[in-house]
Amino acid sequence: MEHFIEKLKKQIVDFAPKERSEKIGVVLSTADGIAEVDGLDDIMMSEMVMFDTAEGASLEQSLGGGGQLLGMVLNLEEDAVKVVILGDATKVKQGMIVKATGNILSIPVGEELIGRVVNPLGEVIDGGLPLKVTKRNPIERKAYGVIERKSVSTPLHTGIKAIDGMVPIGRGQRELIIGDRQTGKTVVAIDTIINQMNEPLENRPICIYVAIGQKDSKIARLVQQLKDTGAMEYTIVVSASVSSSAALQFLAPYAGAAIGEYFMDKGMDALVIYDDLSKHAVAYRQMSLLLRRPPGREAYPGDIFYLHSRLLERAARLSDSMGGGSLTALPIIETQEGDVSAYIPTNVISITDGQIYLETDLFNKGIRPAINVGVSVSRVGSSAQTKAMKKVAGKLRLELAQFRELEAFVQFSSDLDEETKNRIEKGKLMVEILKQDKHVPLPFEKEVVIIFLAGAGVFNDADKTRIAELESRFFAMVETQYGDVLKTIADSKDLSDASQAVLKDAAKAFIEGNNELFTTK
Amino acid sequence: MRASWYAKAIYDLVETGVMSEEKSIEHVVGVVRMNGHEYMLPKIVRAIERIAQKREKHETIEVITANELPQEEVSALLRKEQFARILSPLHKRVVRKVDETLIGGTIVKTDSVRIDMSYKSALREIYQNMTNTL
Repeated sequence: MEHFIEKLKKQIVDFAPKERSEKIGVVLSTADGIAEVDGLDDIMMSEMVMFDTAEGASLEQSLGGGGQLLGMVLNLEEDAVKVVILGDATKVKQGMIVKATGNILSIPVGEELIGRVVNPLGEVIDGGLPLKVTKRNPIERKAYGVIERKSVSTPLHTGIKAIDGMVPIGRGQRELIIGDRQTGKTVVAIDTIINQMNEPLENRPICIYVAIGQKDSKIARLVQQLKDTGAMEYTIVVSASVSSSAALQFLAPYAGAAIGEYFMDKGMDALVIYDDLSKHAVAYRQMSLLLRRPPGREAYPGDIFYLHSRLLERAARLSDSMGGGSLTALPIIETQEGDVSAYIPTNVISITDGQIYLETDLFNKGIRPAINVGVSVSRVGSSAQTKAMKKVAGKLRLELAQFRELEAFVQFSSDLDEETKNRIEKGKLMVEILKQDKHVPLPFEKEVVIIFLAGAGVFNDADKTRIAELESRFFAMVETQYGDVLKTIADSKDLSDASQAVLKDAAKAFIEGNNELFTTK
Repeated sequence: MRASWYAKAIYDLVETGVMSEEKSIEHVVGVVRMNGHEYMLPKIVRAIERIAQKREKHETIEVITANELPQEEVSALLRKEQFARILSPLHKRVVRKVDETLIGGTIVKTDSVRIDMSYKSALREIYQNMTNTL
C-alpha cells in the first residue's frame, strides 16, 4: 500500500494536464460487428482505432468499463470507413466517437507470454495476472526475403515414428496436417509440442498453439493436457474460440506468427500450430461478406489465397547473419469426406512444403496415427533428418509401398513365393511398429532404434498383436541394461556400426528372455 | 450511378452559384430521368440531406465544458494557440455544450479532430499509468 501511495503521489506531482490532439470520426451505423464511421481523415488501411466508450460516462463508469474497445480499419470507402470491432460490439452506438491511434494493430510479445493463454489482442484469458510487457510486434508483417533465409537442415522431431521416419519436418518448414474430422490432426500437433520435452533445453523450440474457432471445452482440455505433461513451460496458447467474433478468429493466426517472430528474431527456434485454417477461412469469408466485398468461388473473397500465403510465408529459417532463428509452421486443414481437391485445401497444399494426410479409413482400421504415407510428403525430405534416421528410414517408405501393393494378395498367401511372403510379413510388422498411442511421443534415439531393428528383420517373428507391449518392454530393458547406446545415438545423432552391433545383441537377449511375445514358425 | 453522386452534383451547383437552386434541381432531375433513374429520387433527397448535415458539421466547432461558459470566455478560449491551429476559415459556427462528466477542463471538437484538455481524460491517464490497464 505504501508503494501504491508513493506511486500515486509521484503521478500527481509530475502531473500536468496536456492537450490530447486526436483524429476522430463518428459512428454512422453498426451491425454484425462492423461499424461504419464518418471522418477519420488520413486513416491507414489496417490501422487500429479506439472507440470512445467513456464519452458521456462519469469517471467512475469509464474506469469500470472493462478496458479499451479497439477496432481495425478494413475498408476505405468513398463516404465512410468500415471498421471491424475487436471486442464487445454491443458497446458501440451510433454517434460514438472513434479515435485513430496512428498504429497498425500490434500484439505484446516476449518471454512473459510463455505458459500463458492469451487472445489475439494479447489479453490474458487464463485467469492469471495481466502481462507486463513493453515490446509489441505488428500483427501483420512482411515475410523475410530470400537473402535473409537459409535452407532448412535441422530436424524438428515430432516423436511420431511414421512422421520422423518418412515425412520428416525441419525447423523453418511449413508442413500441412490435413484430414477429415476426428482423424487425429490435433493429436499430431499436440504430440509434436509434447515431444519437445525430449529436446535439450538449449535446443528446445518455443511452441505456440493457435486455436481458431475451436470449442472452449476442447481448448481447456488441451491446455490441461499440456500442463499435465509439463509442456506449458515452453508453450503459449493463442485462443480465438468459436464464441469469439469473426474478427478475432481472423487475427488469431497472425497474432501467433507475430509472437513466434519475436523468438525467431532473437535467434531462437519457434513452432507455431494453426488449428485450423479451414475455420480461419470461414471467419474471413464472414467478415468479407459483411464488409460487402465481392464474393468469389464458394463465396470466399478474392484474396483468400493471399490470406494464407502471407501468413505461412512468415515461417522461415533465418541465415546466420540474421541470427539463425527459425519459425516452423504446422497449419491444419479439415477436409470434407477426404476431398483434398476442394478450394481451401488445394490453396494451402500449394503454399506449404509438404503435407501429412490423415485418412478416416486407416483410423477406423486401427492404424493410428492414420497417416497415408503414399500421399504424404515432405518437400524438405532427408535434409531434415539426422544421419541416424537417414540410415534406418531410407528404405522404409519404399518397403511400405511395396507391402501395400502386395496387400491384396494376402488372402492367397499359400500360393505365394517365399520372398513375397517375407515382404508381406515384414510390411505387416512395419505397420504395427509405426502405430503409436496418442500423447506418448518417442525421443528420436528410440525411434531410430526400433525402426533399425524392425528393418533388420530382428523382430520378424514377433506376435503382431503384441507389438506395443514388445516395444514397451524392449525399451525398458535397453534403458536399464544398454542405456549408453541410447545416449550415444542421442549425442552423436548417428548410428555407428558399434551401436548397431550392441542393439542387435540387445534384441537377441530380449527375444531369448521374452519368448511369449514371439510366434514360433 | 449512385444517388449520392446526383446529390453531390446538385449541392455543388448550388454552392458554387453556377445555377440557382431551382435551375440546379431541374437540370439534375432532367439528367436523372434521361438515365432512367427516377426510382433513385427519394434516395437523392436523403443524400442531399446527409451532405448538408456533413457540411454543417464541417463548419461547426463544438466546445464542451463541465460548466456553462459565457460566449466571451469561449471566444477567448478558441483564440488560445492550442485551439487556434485546428480552426480554419471554413469554421463558421461555435456550439457550446455542457458535460458534467468532464469534471473540469475543455474539449474542442471539429468533425475530424478533437483536442481534449478535460480533467476526466487526465485522471483516466493517471489511472492507466498506475494500473497499466484501460
